[in-house]
Amino acid sequence: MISADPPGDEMTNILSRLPVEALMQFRSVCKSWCNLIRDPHFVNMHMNQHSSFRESGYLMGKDIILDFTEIKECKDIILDVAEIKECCTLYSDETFAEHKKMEFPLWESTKSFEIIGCCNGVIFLLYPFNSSIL
Amino acid sequence: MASSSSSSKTGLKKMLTLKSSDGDEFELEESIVIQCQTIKHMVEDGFSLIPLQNVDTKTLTKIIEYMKKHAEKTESNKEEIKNFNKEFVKGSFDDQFELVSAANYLHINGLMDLLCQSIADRINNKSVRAVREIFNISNDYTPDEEEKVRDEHKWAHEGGEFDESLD
Repeated sequence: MISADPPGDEMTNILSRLPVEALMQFRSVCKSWCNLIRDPHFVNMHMNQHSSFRESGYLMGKDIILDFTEIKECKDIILDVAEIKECCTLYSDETFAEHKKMEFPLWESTKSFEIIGCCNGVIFLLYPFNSSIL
Repeated sequence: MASSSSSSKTGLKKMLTLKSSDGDEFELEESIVIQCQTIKHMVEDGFSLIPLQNVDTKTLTKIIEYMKKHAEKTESNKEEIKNFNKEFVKGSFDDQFELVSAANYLHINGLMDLLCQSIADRINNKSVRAVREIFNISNDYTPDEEEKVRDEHKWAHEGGEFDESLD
């Protein structure tokens, strides 16, 4: 049997293969898992695990999300209340399959952006604020 | 090294005996067993009877099945190996935990990768409660502490339906 609490080698290996969403959820399992998941060594291990699977890259495109959250509050009105939010979508650069839609935290509609670079899953975007002057 | 290559040319394959914690012995060709780093080191030290005190017969049988299949690996049977791997990880969680523990002790890297990834895939969408049950973990948070930990990453707990099943 493997040691799960506190997590031994095998358990640590298994957890390092989970996506971030699951790890953030599993911090609630017990204190030793919570400590492991925020441990810098584990974070590194997790990053290495995931970057070794993804040799290919992503394409990024502008897109929209229809936000239907308001429908729940007003049952009589249908669809019209859906708010259109602009977002960006990541596509696999091999299959062009949609990977994830992401909302921009600081979106200003109609403005374009430049991708400056990315590192460990963090994407650096630049909005050319004074593009009208240039 | 020179002796093992010349013996295989003449058809005399070097045999090794693995002994499980239940005392059962399994005779295997050295070329199959050296996928396992722990045993490889023992062979290099001159052992030919290898006692595995942490691995019971049931688990060792499965591990041998894996090593035999993977020793046959070539460019042309990739699909066959893939199907074999798929079947291999189908057992209960407890069986998989026994196997992963043995794979770790024996340092069979390919098997370790296969098992850890398959267990990770199986628990990925489980609820926190199901995960505690599966790994036999007792919740050591007070209700207040648990609430606080959940609140720190609330978004991770709102991802729709979580799987409560234990298999």
